[in-house]
Amino acid sequence: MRLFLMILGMLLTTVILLGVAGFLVFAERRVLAFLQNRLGPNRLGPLGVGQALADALKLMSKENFVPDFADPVLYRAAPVLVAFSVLASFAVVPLDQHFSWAGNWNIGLLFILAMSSLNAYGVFMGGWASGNKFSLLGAVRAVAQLVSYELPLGLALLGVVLLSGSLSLNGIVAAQSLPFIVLQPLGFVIFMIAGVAETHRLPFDLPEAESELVAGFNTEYGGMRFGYFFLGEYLGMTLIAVLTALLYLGGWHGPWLPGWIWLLIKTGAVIFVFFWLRATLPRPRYDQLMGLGWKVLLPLALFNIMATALAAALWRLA
Amino acid sequence: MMILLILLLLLIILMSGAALLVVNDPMHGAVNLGISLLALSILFLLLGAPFVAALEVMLYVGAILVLFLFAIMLLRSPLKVREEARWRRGFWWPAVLVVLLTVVLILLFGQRPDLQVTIQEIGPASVGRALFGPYLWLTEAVALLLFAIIAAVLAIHRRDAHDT
Repeated sequence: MRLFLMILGMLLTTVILLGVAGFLVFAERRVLAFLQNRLGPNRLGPLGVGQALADALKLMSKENFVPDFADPVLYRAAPVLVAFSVLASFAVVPLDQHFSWAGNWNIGLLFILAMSSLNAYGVFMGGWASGNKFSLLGAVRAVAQLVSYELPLGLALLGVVLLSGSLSLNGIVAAQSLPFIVLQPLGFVIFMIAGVAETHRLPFDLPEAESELVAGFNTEYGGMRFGYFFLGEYLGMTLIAVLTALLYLGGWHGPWLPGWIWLLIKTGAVIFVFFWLRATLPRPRYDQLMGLGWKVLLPLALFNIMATALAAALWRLA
Repeated sequence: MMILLILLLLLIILMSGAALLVVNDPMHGAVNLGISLLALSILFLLLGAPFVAALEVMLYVGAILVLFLFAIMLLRSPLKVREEARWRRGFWWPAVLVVLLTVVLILLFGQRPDLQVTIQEIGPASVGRALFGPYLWLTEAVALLLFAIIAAVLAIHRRDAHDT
C-alpha cells in the first residue's frame, strides 16, 4: 500500500512538473512578445494559455522515427536520459520545511550536481547518435560548455555550503535567517551566470545556435523525442531558478504568506530574469564563452571561497 | 532484499564491464563504462557511502568519461563500423585477470568465515573531517601532485615563438 502510494505520488509530481514546463514554454513566448512590443500567442483559451496544451498535442501526435544513419539505441536513449536526469533532481528540492521527497538527504546538493553531469551525457549522446555533422558539433559544444561551467557552479555552491554547514537543501534554507545573497553577492552572480550556461539558455545557447548549427544537438530529432529535450531544457531552467531561490534568496522564509507561496514567487521572479536575459543579450562567440568560464568565473569563484572561508574563520574568532 | 539488490548491481557491473570489451564501436564501449560506473555508485550508496557515490557520478561519469568521449570523437569519424573483430584482441587478458582476482577473493574470504560486515552510513561531514584531520598530509600530497600535473600541461601546451 505504502509503495503504491509512493509510486502514485511520484507520478503526480512528474505530471505536475511536466505541466509547469509546458506552461513555461507558453509563458516565455508571451513574456518575450511583451518585451519586444508585440502580442504573442493569445488566441487559445484565456490569455492564450491553451497554446501550451496545443503544442504538447502537436508534438505527441507526430511520428516517432529514427533516421537510418543514426545509432538506433543511443538515439532513443538520449532524450529519455535528459528528461530523467532533470526530473530526478527535483526529488531533493523541498517546497516547504516538511514537504519534499528527500529534502533532508545529506548529499542533496551533490546529487543535483551529479544529475547535471548525467544531463550533459544525454545531450552528448543525442548529438553523437544522430550521425549528423551539425548535431555532432552541437554536442561537442554542449559538453565543453557544461563541463567548463560546472566548475564555477559547484565552487559558487561551496560558499553557501561553508556558511550553512550542510549539503541538504532543507538545512541550507534553515540556516538562512539572512538570505545568502547578502553574504554571498559574488557567489550569487557566478551561480546565475553558470546556471544560464548549464541550462544552455540564451545568451549561452551555442550548442543549438540556430544561425550556425541549424538546431545543434537536436537537429535530427522530431515529435515527442524533441519534446523530451525541450522539456529537459525548461525543467532545467526551473531547477536552476528553484535552487537560486532556495540557496540565495532565503527559500520559504518571508512574512505573512505561507512558505511555499514565497518560494514560488521567488522562483517565478528568477525565471522572469531568464526570459529577460533572452530578450536583451546577444549571443557571444564560442571562444568568448570559454574565456568567460575559465578565465573570469573560475578565478572569481575560487576567490569567493577563500574570502568566505577566511571571513567565517574570523567571525568564529571574534 | 538488500542482498538481492546488491547482487543485481554486481551483475550489471560485470555485464557492462564485459560488454565494454567486446562491442564494436568505441562509443558503445564508453556508454557501457558509464553504466557500470553508475551501478557502482548505487552500490556505494547502498553500502553507506553517499559522499563517494555522488563523487563517483560527478567526477568519473561527469568529467573523466567525458574526456574519453572527446578523445574518441576527435580521433575517428563518427558512426564508422570497424571491420576487425575486437573480440580476439581486447578480451582475453582482462578475462584472465578477472578470473584470477575472483579466485584470490574466494580464497581470501574462505579463510575468514567469521567475517561479518555491518553497514553504517558515513556522511559527507565525517569524510571531510577525516580528510582534513588525520589524512591532511595525504590530501596535501595529492593536491601537490595535481598542481605538478597542471604545470606540466601548461608547459606542454605553451606556444613557442616559432609556432606562430
